[in-house]
Amino acid sequence: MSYQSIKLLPQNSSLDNEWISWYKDLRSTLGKTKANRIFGLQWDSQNGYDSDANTSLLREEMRGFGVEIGSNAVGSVVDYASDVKSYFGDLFTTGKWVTIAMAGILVVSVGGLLIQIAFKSKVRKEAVGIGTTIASRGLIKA
Amino acid sequence: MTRQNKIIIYSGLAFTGALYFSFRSLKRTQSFDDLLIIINKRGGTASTNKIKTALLGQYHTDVKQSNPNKGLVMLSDSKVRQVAEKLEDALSGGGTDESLLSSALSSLKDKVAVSQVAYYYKNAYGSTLFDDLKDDLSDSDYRAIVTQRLISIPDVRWA
Repeated sequence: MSYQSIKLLPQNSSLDNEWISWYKDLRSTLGKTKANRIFGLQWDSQNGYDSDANTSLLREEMRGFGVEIGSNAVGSVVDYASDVKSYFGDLFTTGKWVTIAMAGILVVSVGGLLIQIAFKSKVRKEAVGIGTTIASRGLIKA
Repeated sequence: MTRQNKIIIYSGLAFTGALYFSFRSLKRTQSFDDLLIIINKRGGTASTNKIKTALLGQYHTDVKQSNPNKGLVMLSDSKVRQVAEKLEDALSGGGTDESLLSSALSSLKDKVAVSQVAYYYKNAYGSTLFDDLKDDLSDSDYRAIVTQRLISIPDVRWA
């Protein structure tokens, strides 16, 4: 899976499993919403409706991903609960573990900073001092 | 380690994290835009035909007819009227209010909704939304404001 591999677009002659595998790459790289849109556009541009790839296997698989292939129309199945979940899920698509690690670092560092500022008056004063120095571009020293 | 150092380290880590998420978000948007360009270059006529059909107010009836057993998410009549009036305001008079036009188009989440509004527009104002947009906008503005916006929304949202 990479930004390069998703650019190898399936064609009208591609098989159903090639479309599915490309979609999975797409989804793990771009997230659900963007992947569904790109899938629909490519399916349209290749007239996937009238291709050997338009099998029940593909339609079932894609339905499982929330993409419904109709007759001359492809779109997402609206599921508000799943949409909220996918909004947060989309944050964790590319480089899943790196992202989770970065999110952890972000939470711990911001949390640590806030706790220190909230409970320690000395830290609070220093934070205000640093903030003042930065805001005044060094004119007022902490 | 002094408290000041701790604050600097925590802030640095938070800043790095925020930078990483911003970079990832930009990268994904860039890849999405790249794919849109590639797909359109290699045969995006199907999508542009759908946009035209939607702007002529025919697409929602086509989809309903060819998918009689599937439920579609559709706009309420009041919402359709509201967006159509906004579009008419943007397109009427001497010039085109491009920001109002963009805002009206941005409120439409799929091509079925575009088609519903275009159908109302045709009946209420006597000309098609497609013709009025083509008359009012230059080719490059039409591509930038209409095609680019409408190509990135789904055809339909199934209920």
